[in-house]
This record gives sequence, C-alpha cells and structure tokens, in this order.
Amino acid sequence: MRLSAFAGDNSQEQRIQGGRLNPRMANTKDGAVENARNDLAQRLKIDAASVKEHSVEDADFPDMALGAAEDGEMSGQMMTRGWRIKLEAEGQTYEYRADKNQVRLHNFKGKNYRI
Amino acid sequence: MNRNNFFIHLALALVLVLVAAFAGQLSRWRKQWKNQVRIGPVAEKKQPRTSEEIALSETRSLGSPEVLVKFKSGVSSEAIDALTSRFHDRVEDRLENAEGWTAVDDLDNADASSIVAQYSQLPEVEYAEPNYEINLEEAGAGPLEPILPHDPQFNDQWALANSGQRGGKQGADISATLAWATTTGSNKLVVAVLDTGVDYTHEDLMENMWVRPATLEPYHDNELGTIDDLNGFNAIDSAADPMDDNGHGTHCAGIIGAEGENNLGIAGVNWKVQIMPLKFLNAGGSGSTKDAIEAINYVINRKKAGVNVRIISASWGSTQRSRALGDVIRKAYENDILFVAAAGNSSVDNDRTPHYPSSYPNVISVAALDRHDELASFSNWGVKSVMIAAPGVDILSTWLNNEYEEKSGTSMATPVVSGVAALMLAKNPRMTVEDLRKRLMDSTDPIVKLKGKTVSGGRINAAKALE
Repeated sequence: MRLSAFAGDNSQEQRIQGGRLNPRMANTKDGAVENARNDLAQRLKIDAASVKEHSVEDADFPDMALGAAEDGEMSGQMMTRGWRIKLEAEGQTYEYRADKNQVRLHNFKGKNYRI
Repeated sequence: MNRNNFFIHLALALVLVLVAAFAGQLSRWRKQWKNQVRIGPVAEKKQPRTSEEIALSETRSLGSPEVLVKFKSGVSSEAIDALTSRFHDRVEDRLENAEGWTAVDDLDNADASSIVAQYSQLPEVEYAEPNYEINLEEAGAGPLEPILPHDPQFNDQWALANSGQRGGKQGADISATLAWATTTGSNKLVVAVLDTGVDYTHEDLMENMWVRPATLEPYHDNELGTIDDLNGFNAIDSAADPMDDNGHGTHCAGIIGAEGENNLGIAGVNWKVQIMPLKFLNAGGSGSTKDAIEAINYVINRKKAGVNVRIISASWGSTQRSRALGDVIRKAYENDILFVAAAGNSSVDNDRTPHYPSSYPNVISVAALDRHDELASFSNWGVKSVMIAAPGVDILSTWLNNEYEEKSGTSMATPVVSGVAALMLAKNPRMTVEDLRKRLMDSTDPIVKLKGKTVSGGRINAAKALE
C-alpha cells in the first residue's frame, strides 16, 4: 500500500485530504454572468447596470481554456462544457465564456483574457 | 622415497583432490540455489500465455548481471572494482566494443531500478540501465487468444474492445485484448503524464503510480533548489506535490495505466506500469510554457539519474509556437524519451494552422476517432503533421475522488497512443524512440476516411504494434 509511505508525514496527508475533501468553489451560471458583467463594466469604465445580457447558452468549448487561451497559455485538449455569455454595452456585443472553473473574455480588441 | 612416505604423499594427494572437487560442487550448489531463489515464481507458473507469465518475460536470464553501467572515461578498472565492492556487487563483465560499459551483478538480489539509481548518482558514472532480457519465447507461439479483464466497467471501454456497444462499430478499437495476450505492461517502465497532476490516491491508479525510490535523492535544480519529489513534480509550485486538482490528468493517467484485473473500475491500456505525475496545468486546466519546460527538464534529469522514464504524454497545447519548448522536446528525444501530444480540438488542418507541441518535429501527434471509426468532429488533422489517430470520444477513465467519467478530446486519444508505446517498451525495452515511432506508424489499421488526414492514414492497433 503506497499510502504507508506517508505515515508520519502530516503535511503530505493534509495535502491529499485537502485535494479530496475541499473541492474548489465552483462557478454557477448566474455567478459567471455576474462576474462577466462586472468585468466588462470595469474594462469599459461604465456602470455595471448599463451592461445588458444579450444571451446565455450552454456550449461545448474545444479545450480547457474554453477556446480563449491567453498569449503563451497552454491548455488541456479536452472538450469542455460551459456557458457562452454574450453581453451588450455601448452598442457592442462582447462574448464571455465560462465553466465551473473560470470565466474568460473572448476576443476583446483582438485578445483573450482570463478574469 | 621409502614405502611409508609414498603412501603418505598418495593419501595427501587424494585428500586434496577430494577437497577441490567438493569445493567446486559447493560453488555449483550455491549458484543453483541462488538462481532457484530468483526464478522460483517462474517455475510455479502452469497456465501458458497468461498475463502474469508474459510479465515474467522481462525476468533476467539465469546468472545474468542486473545492470549495465557506463563509467566515465578515465575511471580505472581498479576504481570500478572498488565501487562495486562498496555496494556489495561484482563486475560480471567489462563489455568489449562498448567503451566504459560494465556489466554489474548485485550480490544482494536487490531490485534492478534501485541498483540503477544507486550507480546513477555516482560522479564516476555517466549512465546506468537495467540489463533487460529480450525474450524470444513469444515468437512463433501461434495465434493469440484475446484476454478480457474482469474490471467491472470494462464493457464501457469501447476504445479497448468495441463490441458495438451503444451503437458503435464492432472492431473499431485498438485491439487491446489481443495485445494483452502478448503483454499487459511492465511495472519497470515509467510514463510521465505532464498535465494537471494525477490523483495518485485513486483506487484504480495507486498501485501503478511512480514513487521516488529510497535510493534516489530528492530532486535538485539549481534554480528551484531541492524538491521532495516523492510522488512526482509540480512545476507550478515546486513546494507542492503533483496532486490533481482538476481531473484531466487523472483521466489521462487512467487511460494509460489504470490497474487491470483488480476488480475495480476500468483497465488501462497497461494493466501495470508506473505513472509519473507532473503538474503544470492549474485547476482550470491551463498552464504556462515555462512550467511545461521545467517539467520536461525534470523528466530528462530523472532519466539521467536512472529512472526508466521513456514516454511523456502531453494532452495539451496551443497555437503559439515557442522555440524554447521545441528545444526541450528535442532534448527529450535525444535522451530517448518519446513525446506524444494532442493534435488539438479546433477542427482545423494543422498543416496550415500548426498546433504546439504536437506540430514540433520529433513528436507523435494524435488525432481523435469516435466509436464509428470516424475522425471526431472536433479533431484537428494534418496529412503532414498529424501522425496517427486513436479513440478519443466518450472515453471512460479515472477521475477525482475515486470516480470515473467519460470525456472527449484529442487529450483522451493521446494517452491511448502513449499507453500502446508503453506496451511496446514492456515487450522490448531496448526499442529506441525512432523504433517506437516507426513501429507505431507501420502498425495502424487503415481507415479510408483518414486518407489525406493523417500521415499514417490509420487507427493505432496495439496488437499489431506488438507483433
């Protein structure tokens, strides 16, 4: 039994337990939309109330960066279920992509951002 | 000489002859006893061609040395003798036509990987490796019978045995059950999974996880300092261990080497192997080029230190080229480490829009197939740049918290190929990276629709790869 190798190493055991018993806080769809709205307002320097929800739909993204990798970022090549969030502000439409782990802004002035 | 003296001398001569003969016999008895101890389990095997017997094809032949050690030039024979004596070993042979190579026999019957690690750390040693036996007994043994494991969810593993379940195409699989008649893997071989880490406590993985041998010093890097790499390496935070906090790496690890025939969950392509977890992707599944390079360097250094790591499985990528990443992958290749990478999931032609690291030279890039032998709708392709295709849709494998999940992507096709390469090395550990590449490419099942889509134009076939 390999676990015996950890006997007496409390920090190691805690790390293992930490990985198993304390899952990260996961995004909900509503939470992701809220995060996206606040992010866009901040970027455009406008009030969050003036950012409108255009559409929110379930989507399959091509990788774990939700098809919106930042410069120099590598990502797992697993199809990833999430949400495509389209927001409107100042006459423009902006696309956010989110899953339970993250929210990303896709192709904002030619670049992607992880928020 | 008087009569009495003659008889005394005759008696003494007879005694000496008897003593010499007895001593010789003792030596033979000792050697026989030692060999019996080593090969005892072999003699007890009765059923032919079971996985266990096949696994024993890796055992060393009677009286053969455990390790081959290449000492640096200038190290004298006397110094070599002194070093081997210090470890209670002995020089079996100084190999002709192989300058510096010495065959070393361990007198304590220790595990070969431990001895390799012991010698690899000596400043006088350039390189050490186990003295693998290439077993020829399998040749000409007749047609193979498929071997089916009793892992309860095996029937859902269409990639390994496609019986047409869930509307799939019968036979659209990698012929794993036939391959297992030759070998089910080797726990002497290490496959590095460069990913989000691996849940090394997963019930279906824990027996197949690499653990740093006690004889191998903790990893030291001039920049990072000394790192306790007991369970692998975490390039994001070198102080942390490589426990998976996403699930993706655990899934890939299970495809390569979930323990087989243990009455739990699934069977990996290898029933037994050593998975070395390397974490550079974060909890969201993304990571930096710098951390990827650091982890690959770790693998190369561990191989130089005597760890028998021969494959890096890389289920990740990006469209951005990094010369530094390309260079370190070339370095891995030069150290006889096969690099297998995902072709990408953007439904594009990699010949026109390269995807890295899969588009670097010296990499086996992998496209994904579905259960109907069709290129997956998301999979990238490239008649010049994508080498091979493997199942990558609805692939069941291990997940966090002792769970199992179905996932899709060239991420899932990649460890299938890494797993097959591991089976090949289990059968023939002396295969070079070039041998592996050639054999993998030459042993596919042609698929008409893959013509013009990948270099090989076919689906990987594990049984053919082991022929």
